[in-house]
Amino acid sequence: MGILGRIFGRRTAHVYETEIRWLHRLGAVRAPEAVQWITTSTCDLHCPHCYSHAGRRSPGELTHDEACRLLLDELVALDRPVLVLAGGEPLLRPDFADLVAAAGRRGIPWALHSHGGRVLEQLDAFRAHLPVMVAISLDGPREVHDAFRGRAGSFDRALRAMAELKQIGVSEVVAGTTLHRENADLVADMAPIVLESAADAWGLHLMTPEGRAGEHRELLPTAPQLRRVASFARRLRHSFRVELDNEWGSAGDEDCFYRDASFVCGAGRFACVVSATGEVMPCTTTDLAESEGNVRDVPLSQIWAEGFARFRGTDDALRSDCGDCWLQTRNGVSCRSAAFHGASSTLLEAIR
Amino acid sequence: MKSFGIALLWIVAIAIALLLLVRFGRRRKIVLRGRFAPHLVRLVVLVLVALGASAETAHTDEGKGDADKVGQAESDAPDVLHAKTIARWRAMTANFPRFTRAYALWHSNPTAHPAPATLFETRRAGRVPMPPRLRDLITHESTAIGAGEQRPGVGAASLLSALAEAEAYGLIDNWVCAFLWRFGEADGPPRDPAALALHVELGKRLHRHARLANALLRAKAEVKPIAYAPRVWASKGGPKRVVRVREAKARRDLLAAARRLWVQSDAGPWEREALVGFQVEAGSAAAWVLRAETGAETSVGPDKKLQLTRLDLLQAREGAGPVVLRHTWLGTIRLLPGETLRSWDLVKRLQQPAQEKLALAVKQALQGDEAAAALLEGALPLTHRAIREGVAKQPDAKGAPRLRVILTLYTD
Ligand code: SF4
Ligand code: SF4
Repeated sequence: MGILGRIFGRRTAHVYETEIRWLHRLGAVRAPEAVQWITTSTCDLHCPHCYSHAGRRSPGELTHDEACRLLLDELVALDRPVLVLAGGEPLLRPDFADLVAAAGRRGIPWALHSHGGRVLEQLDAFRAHLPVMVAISLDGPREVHDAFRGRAGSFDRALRAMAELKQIGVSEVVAGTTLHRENADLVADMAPIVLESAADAWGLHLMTPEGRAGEHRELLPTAPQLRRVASFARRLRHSFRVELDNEWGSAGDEDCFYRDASFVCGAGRFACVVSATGEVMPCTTTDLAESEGNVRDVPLSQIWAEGFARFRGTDDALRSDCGDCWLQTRNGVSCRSAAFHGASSTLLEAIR
Repeated sequence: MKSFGIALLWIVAIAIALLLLVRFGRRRKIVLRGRFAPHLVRLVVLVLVALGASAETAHTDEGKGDADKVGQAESDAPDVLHAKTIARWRAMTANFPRFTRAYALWHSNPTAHPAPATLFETRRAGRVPMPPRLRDLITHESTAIGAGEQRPGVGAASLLSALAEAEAYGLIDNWVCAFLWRFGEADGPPRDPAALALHVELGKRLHRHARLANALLRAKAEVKPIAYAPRVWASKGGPKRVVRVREAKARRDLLAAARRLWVQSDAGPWEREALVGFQVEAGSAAAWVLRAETGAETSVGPDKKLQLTRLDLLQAREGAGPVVLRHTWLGTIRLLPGETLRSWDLVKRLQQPAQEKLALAVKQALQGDEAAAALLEGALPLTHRAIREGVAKQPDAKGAPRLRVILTLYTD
């Protein structure tokens, strides 16, 4: 391997940051690597940790025709980044299968975040254009999951969805757990469930106080919980692909003990989110003040080219710290320091 | 010819970069797309990063001081880090998690999942070339646990030879460390100088193994995976020459990176977590700490504090008086002259009032008391057994899941 390959391998995050900033100074940006679309705010569940207030359909959600024109066609113009369908529950959109087919016709790779309860009815849509990744939510052991999701049988359906998706050939099925105060200490009990499931990996997300979750800040995990889970995950990685997801921030040169690729926050840098009503956001925030424009008014490719300056420059300290999750930091829950630093200082306090 | 080609590529890259600069000069925001532009830009940025002309200073201290240490790293790196081990380690890391996943499932519920011993017989797991001594220990453990008994005790000498064999097989993995270390629970403290020497060596070797495993993981993250699908190997003619060359080169890079990163790597959780601290009582003889990390023997006098990792040994020297250590919460522990204790032995030295405090804390933690659970977590070498017994008796108690997480911080 050449010296450049080695530099990139060792300092991926640093290379990304440098590139984004130099290009920005020169008036350019790379095409995004992923665009997440909150397909709908409709959901048949009512989880307290939901970042998007999901439940009823929002007025003014993008129609099928708009989605094809304002989103899919624009993604083609943006070099076909991965389209991440999220929600609400994307499978509750009546045109879900048509959307996937439309993405397939345009050669756009897609991924899905779902609660898994509706996957079995839509397997043909999956087969027609296989997603590159599907993440199915798993909040805890059966009783905890079902109670939290507010519906009996959700847990079993989620596990069955993972198995069926693997069966039809989806290469990457991830069990996604959003950690909050009530399930963070259940990770040791969850591990055998995930290991026995069809999942290829286990993604440990952190609850983000946005949307409905913003009304339940008492559910945010505590700093000692974060440290325990991080330490637990590091050990479990000997046996299974468990990863601390973006919201945790960077563990610096120890990232390799917690995740497969080193961390760099992509908000507005190599990823963005399109809300159900077409607002283009840096990440999954519900705060419209963060919108860079609406795809109904300005083409997505233009918003991508001209917006997000605050994330690509160095003027705004909060937004230019690519080592922490911007979304968490803006909500006052920087997780990097809580999870990766100071574990032994708590211990030292305890022994004094 | 090859270097001419590379030089030509560079010239083309720089020319295109200049063209891009001209486009940027027009002051219209542009999105880089197409097949080549993004790659070329990346190439230029990599050169900038290599030259240190990057935009940030905030995140650059990651490799600070590395340069001074590289020479030292090369000379300090253990002999086991050689080309053959790297080749085997690569094969092992591809296969071993299949076994450890099955083992973890069995461990979580031995009655519901096949014992690891039987896994060796299946075709799938048969592809994991398990080192024979490790395999015997796994069988030994699963037979005992399957019969409802405790994990059997295994002496330091056997653990050392299993560890050396695993390393020779390229099995350098933190899982191995924890697996072997757990056998120490049913063993006793060293009773004579020969046994002591073995225990000292075991601590050192386990520490070194964890450090090696971490250096390799860092190296793997640094050296990109080789870009070919495993199915290439399945072709009748074997891998193409280009693949063989790439594979050999990646191994060389991995070896060089691991040797360099060795000096920056520590033993991770073995050094930083599940620690326990004491203060040597006034009037006590000096306590000696035999550090697994450095092999150093440190004397800690009265009124001074000491902190032990799971791999360190604690000693009262022959000819001096007894050593009395105070733990702020669980009271005193005594060592008679000539005695050496391992992390596993500390719990057996707790006095009656401490046992009562422990029992109360476990009861409260099981009921969901956060403060009690934090106390238990802060002194794991003294509390792990009481936690395990409490959780076994009341697996469904409110606080049991948290205690199960805490336990793994000591045992895994
Ligand atoms: S978290 Fe997911 S499943 Fe739960 S309400 Fe929100 S969108 Fe629906
Ligand atoms: S804000 Fe957080 S979740 Fe969003 S891209 Fe950045 S790291 Fe990821």
